[in-house]
Amino acid sequence: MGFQAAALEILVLAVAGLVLLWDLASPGGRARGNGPYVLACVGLGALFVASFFVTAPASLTDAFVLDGFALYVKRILLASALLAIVGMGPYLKARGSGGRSAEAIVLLLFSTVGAMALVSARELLTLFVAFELVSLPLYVLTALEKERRSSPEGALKVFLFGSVSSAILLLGIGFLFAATGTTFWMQVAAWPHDRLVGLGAALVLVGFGFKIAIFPFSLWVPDTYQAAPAPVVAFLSVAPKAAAVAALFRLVFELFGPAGVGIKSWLVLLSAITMTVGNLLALRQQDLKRLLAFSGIAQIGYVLAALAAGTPMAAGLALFYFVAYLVSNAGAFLVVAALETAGEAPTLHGARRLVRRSPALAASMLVFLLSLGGIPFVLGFWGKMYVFLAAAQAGLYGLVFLGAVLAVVALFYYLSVARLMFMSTDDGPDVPVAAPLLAAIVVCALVAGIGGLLPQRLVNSALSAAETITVPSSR
Amino acid sequence: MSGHLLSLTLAGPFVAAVVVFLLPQSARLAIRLASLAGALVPAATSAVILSRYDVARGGFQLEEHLPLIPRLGVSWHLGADGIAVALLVLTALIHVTSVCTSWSLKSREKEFFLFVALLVTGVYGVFVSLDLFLFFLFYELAVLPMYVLIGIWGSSMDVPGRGPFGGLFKKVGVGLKEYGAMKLTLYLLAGSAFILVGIFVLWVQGGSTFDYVALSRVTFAGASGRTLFLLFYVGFGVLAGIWPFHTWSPDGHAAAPAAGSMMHAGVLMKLGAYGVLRVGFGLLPAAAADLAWLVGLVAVINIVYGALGAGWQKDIKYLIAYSSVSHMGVVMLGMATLNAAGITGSVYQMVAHGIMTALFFTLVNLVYDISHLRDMTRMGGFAHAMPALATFFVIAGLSSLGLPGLAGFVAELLVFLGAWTSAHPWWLVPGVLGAFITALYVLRAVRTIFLGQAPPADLHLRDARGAEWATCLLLGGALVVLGVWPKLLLDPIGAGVGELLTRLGR
Repeated sequence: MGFQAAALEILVLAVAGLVLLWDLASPGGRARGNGPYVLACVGLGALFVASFFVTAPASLTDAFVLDGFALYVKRILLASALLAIVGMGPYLKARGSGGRSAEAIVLLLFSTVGAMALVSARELLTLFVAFELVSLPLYVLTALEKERRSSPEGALKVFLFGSVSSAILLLGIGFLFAATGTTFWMQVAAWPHDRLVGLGAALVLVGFGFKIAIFPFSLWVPDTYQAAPAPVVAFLSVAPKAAAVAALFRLVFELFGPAGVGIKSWLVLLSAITMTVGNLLALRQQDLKRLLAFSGIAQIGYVLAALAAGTPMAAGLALFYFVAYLVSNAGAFLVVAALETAGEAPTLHGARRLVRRSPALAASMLVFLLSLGGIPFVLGFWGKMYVFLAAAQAGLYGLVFLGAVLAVVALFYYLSVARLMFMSTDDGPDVPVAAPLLAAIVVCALVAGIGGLLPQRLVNSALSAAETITVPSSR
Repeated sequence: MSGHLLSLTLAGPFVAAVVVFLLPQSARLAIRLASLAGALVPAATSAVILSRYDVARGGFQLEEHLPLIPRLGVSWHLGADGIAVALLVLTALIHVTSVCTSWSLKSREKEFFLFVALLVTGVYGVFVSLDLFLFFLFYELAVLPMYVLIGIWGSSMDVPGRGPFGGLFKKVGVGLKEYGAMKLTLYLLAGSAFILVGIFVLWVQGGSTFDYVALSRVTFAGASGRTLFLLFYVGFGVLAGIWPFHTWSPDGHAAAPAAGSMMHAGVLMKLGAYGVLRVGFGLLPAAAADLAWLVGLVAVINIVYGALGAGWQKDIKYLIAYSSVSHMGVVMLGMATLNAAGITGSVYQMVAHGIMTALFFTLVNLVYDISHLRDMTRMGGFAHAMPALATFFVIAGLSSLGLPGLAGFVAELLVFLGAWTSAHPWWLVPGVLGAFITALYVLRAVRTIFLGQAPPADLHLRDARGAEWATCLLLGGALVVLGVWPKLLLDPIGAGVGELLTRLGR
């Protein structure tokens, strides 16, 4: 049994355990210091570095494999968790929830473990358990600031939608099991395509649709993002989506494809609808978190275009896209977190004339917005172009055209935020930012900026990672 | 460095942008000097490139090739043929003069010069890219800073926007500059959506490469070739101001600050025409030949419609902007002739129009800065107080209506010659009609603004001075030089066009 296949997950769990122990052992009762943060950050940072020394492929039974593809996504997930935890420290303290920091960190780490397991799962029940492990801690994290009125409401929404999606996913898995009598992918994949398999596949897709906020299963997103603490959203808006999309790629390559289930046209349709609706609804938002929520829905629409293309190259380019999305989207939410930490409302108005109030924050936010908008020489540009390129290669020109037009629409609202930050004549108080948070934001901005100038290594590594996706050998 | 002249040209403004970004806002002189240096370096390299370009050999020269992302067929492939060389010279001239004309700017200079430098980097990049991905990247980079330039430094005069959305913007209380900036950006980026799809189709059908030279060996024939051509024609045509997608242009130009409209009318619109010529005609010759009738038809509509539109205006900025629409029609008409005279004239008109419009916008903005008037009907006799400006306005105007001895004449003559010998000689009729209307509105503008009784004393008029003189002299001088010594650019342009004609099978 190759336990090294799950080594990263186990080590993340160990870090979570250490944080819990520290919390129990610290004498200060509720007024605890920075210990848990430092521990979690150092641990995750070390694991991120260590992930470059992990050997792939490896497998822990047929149910759990670690290939280059999974490893690449796990790095994204680790980085995402690290960013969120860095942001959480000053945020919770400033808002008087500092006493819950250890719980928050542990929950976030659990969710990370779930997401990491999700990309390695190659058996339907493992997939389901991982899927649940991603979600359950996030329900609690959303309601972390339970004193705020909107917080429990947002948590309830994500909980209800999440449970329904799990139920649907489980139903889909049930159908697949009923049709084939097994939950191992290689055996399901070998099964000849029949109606029950098709139905199961469709239900699995819908279950994932809820989780990664594909329209029309995305209704919970804006409210939940608005309710949850901004650093949690920095994680919530990136990690579960990256993991679930990666898992979907695996499903497409290893399960639906071999079983002859045609979901390509569905994916094309969902991609078109998702990017259209996300972009159009984002236009009208005044709340930064809601704006970014809808923009995130739209961004997932772009990734679905790559998923619809369904080639190994498309998978690689989607991985690259998620790197760009990680630094820009998580970065943007960390900026929102910094604004909220400074006592500013997370609205467009709150960002007015940010260039004077905190130049570093404004400059970083500009990079994130440009990256999300897909402007040349920022990482997001390459991400978007390559996703479209993958779609074009699969002949989905209509989708490419729609995406390109919608990217213009998107620019309208991204620029409206930039305009307020830089051109507004209205002014406000200075925005002080805690050093670690600012450092995290600036690192994201630098990656987005420098990566945009020299993207080749990132692209190459993502493409290589995607080529390692291991297709079930025994038929 | 001689092997990297093209990269050096790009590096000039880009480094200037970085330096300006790092300088503090208070270092006003340093910011200006860095920007000027960033303009002079590419000006020098363009001059060297022009002198080194081997007309006898033709084709792409000074090539640089460095694989960027080989697995996706993206490379740093630069090269310039005669057409690109001529446009590099134009860009350098406009760049230098637009820095000069902004010398006395007094608000947020740091950002201003930063965005101008970025924009120009994009422009140079488009002209020298031989990799379509790079081409697209620079194209976007050239278009986007305009949003900021207009949005911050634009003219906030409350002139209602035109077109279907004008009323809407007026209702929500958005000023002209926001309207102009947003309209321009959205139009141009919507155009680039067409281009993007086109480029990706080329990539897929051309064997997973973006390399221009490699793609030019692939034949894209038949209906799919024609569809591709239309994608590029519409996509680039929006920026070139082709009818009916030109409406962003008057609003954008009228709202833009001096350097912005100089850049835009002077150089950016040429990117559109260049794109149609380079990608549309160069890579899809068969389809271009099939659809030349359409390009020509739209071009003559542009010529007449733009001229009539200009004749209709009272606001001088709108007048110049509409005249640009008309003159870009001449550029497109030249291409549609598919013969040596016409296409050479088309490129020459790009250069001539670039210089002349830049001069026009400089003058119009100076007149506005001095008198605070843009409505022609309220002006008159300005020549008494500003003889130099009046003189330059007349030079630009005469070039615009095609007076021999000025750059515009050479260009129009070649285009009309080309039209006469093309498959559609009747294009000459609306073409010449447009030139005639141009004469009418230009002379009328000269009369109403500069001639007649001396203006009332309370206007406090003055003449050009300092950097303004330098700007006018450079641009006006260039018009005269290109008018009396057309060989300077005609030779390299001819070399570039010759190769293009071979590809077009003519």
